[in-house]
Amino acid sequence: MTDGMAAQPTAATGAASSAHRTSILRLRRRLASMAIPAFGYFGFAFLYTPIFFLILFSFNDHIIPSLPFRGFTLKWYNELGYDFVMHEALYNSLFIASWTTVISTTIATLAAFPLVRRRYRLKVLSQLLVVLPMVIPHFLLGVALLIFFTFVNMPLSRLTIILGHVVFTLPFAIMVISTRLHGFDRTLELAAADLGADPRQTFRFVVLPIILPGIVGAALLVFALSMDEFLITYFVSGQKGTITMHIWSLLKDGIAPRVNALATVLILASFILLIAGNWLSGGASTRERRR
Amino acid sequence: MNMSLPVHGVTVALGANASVELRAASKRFGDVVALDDISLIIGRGEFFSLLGPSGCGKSTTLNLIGGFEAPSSGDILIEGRSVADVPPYERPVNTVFQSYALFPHMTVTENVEFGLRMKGVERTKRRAAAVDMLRMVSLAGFENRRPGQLSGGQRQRVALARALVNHPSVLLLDEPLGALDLKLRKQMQGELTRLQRQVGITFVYVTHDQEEAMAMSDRIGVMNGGRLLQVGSPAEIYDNPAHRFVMEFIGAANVLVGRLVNVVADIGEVEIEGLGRMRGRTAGQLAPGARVALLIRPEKIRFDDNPSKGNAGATGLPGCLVHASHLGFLTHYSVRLANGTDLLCYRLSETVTVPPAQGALLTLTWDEADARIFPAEADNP
Repeated sequence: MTDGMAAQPTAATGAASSAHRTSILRLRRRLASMAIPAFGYFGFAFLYTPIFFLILFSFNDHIIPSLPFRGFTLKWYNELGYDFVMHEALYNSLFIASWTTVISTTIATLAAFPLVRRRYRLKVLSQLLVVLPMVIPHFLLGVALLIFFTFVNMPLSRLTIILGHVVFTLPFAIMVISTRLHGFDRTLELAAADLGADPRQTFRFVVLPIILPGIVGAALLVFALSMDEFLITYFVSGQKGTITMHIWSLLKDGIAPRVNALATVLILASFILLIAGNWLSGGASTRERRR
Repeated sequence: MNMSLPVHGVTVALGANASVELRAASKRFGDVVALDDISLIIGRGEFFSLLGPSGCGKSTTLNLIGGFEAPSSGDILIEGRSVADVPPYERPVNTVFQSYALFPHMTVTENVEFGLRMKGVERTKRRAAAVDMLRMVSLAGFENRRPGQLSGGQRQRVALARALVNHPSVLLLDEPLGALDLKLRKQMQGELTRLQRQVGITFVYVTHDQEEAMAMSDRIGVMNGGRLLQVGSPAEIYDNPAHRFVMEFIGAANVLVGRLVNVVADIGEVEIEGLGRMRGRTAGQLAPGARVALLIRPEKIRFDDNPSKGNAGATGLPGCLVHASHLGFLTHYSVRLANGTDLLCYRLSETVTVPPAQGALLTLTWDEADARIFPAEADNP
């Protein structure tokens, strides 16, 4: 290298500047390699810091949830056991979420087949229209549903909440099941027919078992979404409130510490549901794809 | 007399033994004619191959027999019964798909017993049948694996067992060896023929690999452009091709294009620009003056330094050796003729004692009975 520099000065300056450039590039690359994980950590911190404090304060032995931490207690969790209004609200939420799950998943399964398999005009448009409600604010959906139920003279009840929840969960369910159905090898249906299975048997023994992880995943997602929903519920509920509405009513009179305990329990349950749903819908398909 | 011949093709001509019969079957997709008026009888217990390039209609023919597609016109009979309106799940036919199409959520045994389960065969019986069949395809011990845990060759055997366990009248195979590597493919060719003799089921085998079809089949149907060009034993098709396409697709052939001068009996004389007149056997009706192609297989061409050794009726053509490639037991020679055409000649390497040098002047000869004259337009009868 030095020999080359001495012998050919012009080439040497070129070599020096290119060496300079590569060192800058290397530095930049090293910075990037550190920065990218840092952004990732920042993102996670942003998402989970509020939840972390919520969980932390649910164990804080003080009536006002604030720092400093006054000592560990389980008494807020204990209080949950005596909040009978909350018990009824929780029952309502489970009732609503269960029916929403059954209705939404069934409709989504039936809808996914034509959406994925049939060829028709405006197919792309219809696929867009199906997922559009995902981006409509729940506030607007709630108002629209309330206007609609009033228009058709439908008294507000748990039924109207279920219908409202079906409306907003359906796009999610259709998305999950469509994805599963999209990767389905249709030769398998020919093979089943070839082996003597009529269309009903083909569905029962071949199609359904293979798309089942998608259906279960969709069901878990719908259940979790319905359990956590507040805005639409708020607009279309009658006498019987859900767990999210109960929390809202507790918060109106200042922050009751048992809300933190209740929220922690709900977050944990939602988290388990989502992980299970993701594992079933995503994990199962990768296991199969790996030959 | 004919019956004693090992060639199945001879017995099937009797018709009463027909396993599959296509009567003027056509299939159109919109304006595209995928199958054009196919009539064919496949005999019971025959190993029949449909051979042709991709898009020739061989897979469509298979789909018509399997019931996955309905013919636009014409009829299909299986065991003498018209099945044009019978759905696939009610046909006595099973298929080995190119992609195998094994059910990924079932074990090997569950895959194999699926057909029997659909027929309502009780659990213990169908289990036993599946295990027997798996032993037959040398897959004993793999019963509880899932398709995802098997190699390509093993999956292929499962697909075979899953079809054969139902004892169909006809087994359809759609390029079943296409996804395997060469060595495994050769091995499976042998196993498939052995299995077919063993079970005695009619095999209808679709392939684009002429060597595979020649090695395995009792008879071959050569297809191109949606039409069935010729049906015959491998030897018949190779030695007596009925179409220019068949001769070029099966094996190799040199082509010299010219004008037909005259025809005496079935020997025609062709005027080829720059080379003079050459004789060969004509296939079908050809009128003098027609543009024709004279085809000669590379292994039928002899060359000598001494042209007088060639037989009396032989054509003697001067040529210059352009290139020789030694491929083991065969050597390929490329010889340029006076009009600039290169002819390919094969010779057994061991018969060439003094290899000709590049640029050597040679005289090419062949028997006029070995040269074939077809209409110049490919594959028109």
